[in-house]
Amino acid sequence: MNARALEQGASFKRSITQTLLIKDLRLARVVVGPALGVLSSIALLVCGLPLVAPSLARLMGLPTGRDGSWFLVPLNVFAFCLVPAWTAVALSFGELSRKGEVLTATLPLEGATKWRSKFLVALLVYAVFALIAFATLEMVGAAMPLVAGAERGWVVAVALIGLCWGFGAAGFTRGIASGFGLATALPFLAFLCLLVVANVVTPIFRDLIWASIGFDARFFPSDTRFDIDEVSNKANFWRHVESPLLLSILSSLFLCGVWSAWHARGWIAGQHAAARTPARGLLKLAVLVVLLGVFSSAIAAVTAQTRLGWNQSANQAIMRGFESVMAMDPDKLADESTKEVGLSGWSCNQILVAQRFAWSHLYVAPGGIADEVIDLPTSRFRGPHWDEQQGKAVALRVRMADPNERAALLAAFERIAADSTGHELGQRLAAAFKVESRGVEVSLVSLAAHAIADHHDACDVLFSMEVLAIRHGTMQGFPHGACECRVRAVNRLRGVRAMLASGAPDAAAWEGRLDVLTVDRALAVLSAPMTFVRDAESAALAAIPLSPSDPAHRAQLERRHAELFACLECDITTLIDESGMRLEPPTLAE
Amino acid sequence: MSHAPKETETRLEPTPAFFAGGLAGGLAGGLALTCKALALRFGRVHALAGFDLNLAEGESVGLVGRNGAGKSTLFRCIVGTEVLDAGAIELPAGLSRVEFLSRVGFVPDTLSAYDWMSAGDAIAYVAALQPRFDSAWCAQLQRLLGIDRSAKVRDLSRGMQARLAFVLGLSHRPSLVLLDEPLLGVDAVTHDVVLETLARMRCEIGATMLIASHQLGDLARLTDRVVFVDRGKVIESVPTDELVTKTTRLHVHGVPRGWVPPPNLVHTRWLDDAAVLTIQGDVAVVEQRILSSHPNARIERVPLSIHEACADRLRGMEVLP
Repeated sequence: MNARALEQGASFKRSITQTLLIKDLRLARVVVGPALGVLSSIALLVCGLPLVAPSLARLMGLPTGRDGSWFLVPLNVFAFCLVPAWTAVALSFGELSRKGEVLTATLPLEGATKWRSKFLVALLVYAVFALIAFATLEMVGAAMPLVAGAERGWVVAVALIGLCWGFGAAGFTRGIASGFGLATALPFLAFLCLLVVANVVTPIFRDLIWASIGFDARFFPSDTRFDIDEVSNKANFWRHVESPLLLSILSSLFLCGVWSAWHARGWIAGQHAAARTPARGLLKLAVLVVLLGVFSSAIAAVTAQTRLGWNQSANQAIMRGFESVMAMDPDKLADESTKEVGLSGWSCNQILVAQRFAWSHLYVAPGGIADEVIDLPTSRFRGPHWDEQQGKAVALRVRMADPNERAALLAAFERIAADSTGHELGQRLAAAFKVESRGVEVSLVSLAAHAIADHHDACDVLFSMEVLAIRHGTMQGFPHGACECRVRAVNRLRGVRAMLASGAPDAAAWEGRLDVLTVDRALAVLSAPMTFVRDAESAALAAIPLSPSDPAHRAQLERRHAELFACLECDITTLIDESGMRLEPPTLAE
Repeated sequence: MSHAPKETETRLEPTPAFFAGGLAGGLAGGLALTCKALALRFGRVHALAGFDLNLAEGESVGLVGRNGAGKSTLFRCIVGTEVLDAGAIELPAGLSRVEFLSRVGFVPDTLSAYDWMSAGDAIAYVAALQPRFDSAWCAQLQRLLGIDRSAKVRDLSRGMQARLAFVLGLSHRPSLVLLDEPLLGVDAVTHDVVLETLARMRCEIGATMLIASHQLGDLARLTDRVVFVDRGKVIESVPTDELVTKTTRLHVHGVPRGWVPPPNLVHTRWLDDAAVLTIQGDVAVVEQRILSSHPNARIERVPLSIHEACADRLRGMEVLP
């Protein structure tokens, strides 16, 4: 080989990998160059201009300071999702020169060698734009709602999916311009298609699963609101499906992208000089998307049902409770449904804490109150028969909705509310509450006022006081807000007294149930320091089944009692003036 | 089969590396290739429809056909940039696809190189990826064809592009040379140099050649036989020598319009009052038949160039189904 030949021939020999990488980097420059240019220009404009020429920046309406940085984050995240995909398009179509002839394709190279180089360059671009996006995020140092924490994983996944579809676009179109369009639009279309398929197919799988395990759609357990409405129950299931479904749809989208890239491997390596119809490939892709949509839906439905495994037993319990109440005699049902909390043998504090919970659900049968009753009032309460109680509560609502059943049940509730000998106060109040539509104010306030005026039992007084306060308006129960509760109860009674004394037309409804004298007696009990509660409570507190090894729990309970007594034993004039205006509550001594 | 070039004059320097590499590297002789019933369709267009072709080792074959006959598609199928719908291209035994490509030199009708590369970059690119690249031979080709290494591919004229395509395709001394209209736009001198180079390649390393060209004079110089192609099929294969020596044109005067000439002629047409017949084979037999039916007819033999011979064959193919 002569010197001249070396100079013109061998001297510029590079390795195959190096040569292909340089070529592919040059092909990627078509997209990466302008993208970096646009991003850096905007970054310079947004961050630099307000520093250099703040007045000009304001004139241009540029976001400044933190706003400006925040503006860059979504921009860079968007670029991270789009640019690698478009780079893949440029790498795929870059081999084509005029008339579709291909230089690299005619050289003796394995397809994998050509692919590897393009894939490495695409990954490099992916890494660079990920770095830019997340570095911007870190610099901003704020938890952007869109890209904070776990959301970053989604962004990374979306960009990776885009990368696969970018390579795949070459299999479905002939020109680079339509390649960019397809790389952007096809994943969206596939995503929409997957969503549509999932919306159609997931309910079918759900019904199949429920049918196979004997799950009754009417009794879908819920932490929030239970309803027998089958439609809303199914929607509730959908809420549990959403997360696994989204994950499986994204996985399907990724698989479709990988298939597209595999389908286009020949084109990317240069085997596509002339015009070929992409219809067959698109048809295959559509079939794949539908199949994966069905598969995703099945996986999501099974995953959701597996996660909600406890629901099957809960579902059965609700169904048991529902069916037992539906078959019950109205008198017995009225009696059962108002046995909310037995007042005897419990600390007033505990009872009231539990009672508030019981009231909110209208129906808690005996046994519904569990050991959690001694827990903090703000904690979540759930008894061992909770699901069954839900079923019973719904069944009661169903029967109350039937006009014939409703009349019989209301009569039974009225009998219980009026029976001062056979039923204790709690049950009578619960029964009075059930006849709400027929004058719950009169029933409840009368019962509560009588209980306070007679004040045979400290718990009765506290319970009634809270009933008066709650009926007056929304408020916190005992022990938190005890002062508020006492004030509201007094104001409520004062209002009733004024109405009774005025002889207004409304007073007729109260006739035979409550008089001014009884109200005055009740007001006297509530206005004077209520020291009798401490006496009764001290005895009850000793009976609380608290473990001695739980000093923290006991200390917490004692503190709550101290708060309660501070509110109950102070003079009412320290809480409220004559006109009913609320004063500062007493400070609890440490 | 003769591998000798049709014209002996040469200006190509006989470089020792060229001969040594060609023989010592096991490249002496060409590659055989068989195309069997190749079929390829683009939408409704059948670019190849049962294309059969046998290329013997060292043979040089010209492909002649009208535009759209399937010649360029055949080349793309051979080098693998098109995937066949049916049929097979049988490579020599024991040769993988990659090894085959390393011995194939493809010169397309349009330069296939990245626009952003300079001519030097394009050559360096091929040098890195073509394991049989011969630097000395490449340098000699560049010098002969006057390649400006610094010029960008996108700035090259059509003729310069053809020259560069020639260098890129042949700088590894291929055993099978595929030329798809390689001389479009080149000047007369370069045209001559290219023909000389190809002739030397046939002569010295016995490369097999498949040349598609509308410049039929070139085919006469370079090929052993000419294959006529129409609508994706081989219609006829004729030894190049016979195209000129055994093809005759007769002008027949004194026969009435509507006269039906003897069968199996290459082509028949009317020129004023004379019937123009193109005949392949024994012309005396045809003359005797005409005179026996029309004793007053006057027959005139007209010499034919290869261009005219091929053109008449192509015209004749138009009536074929």
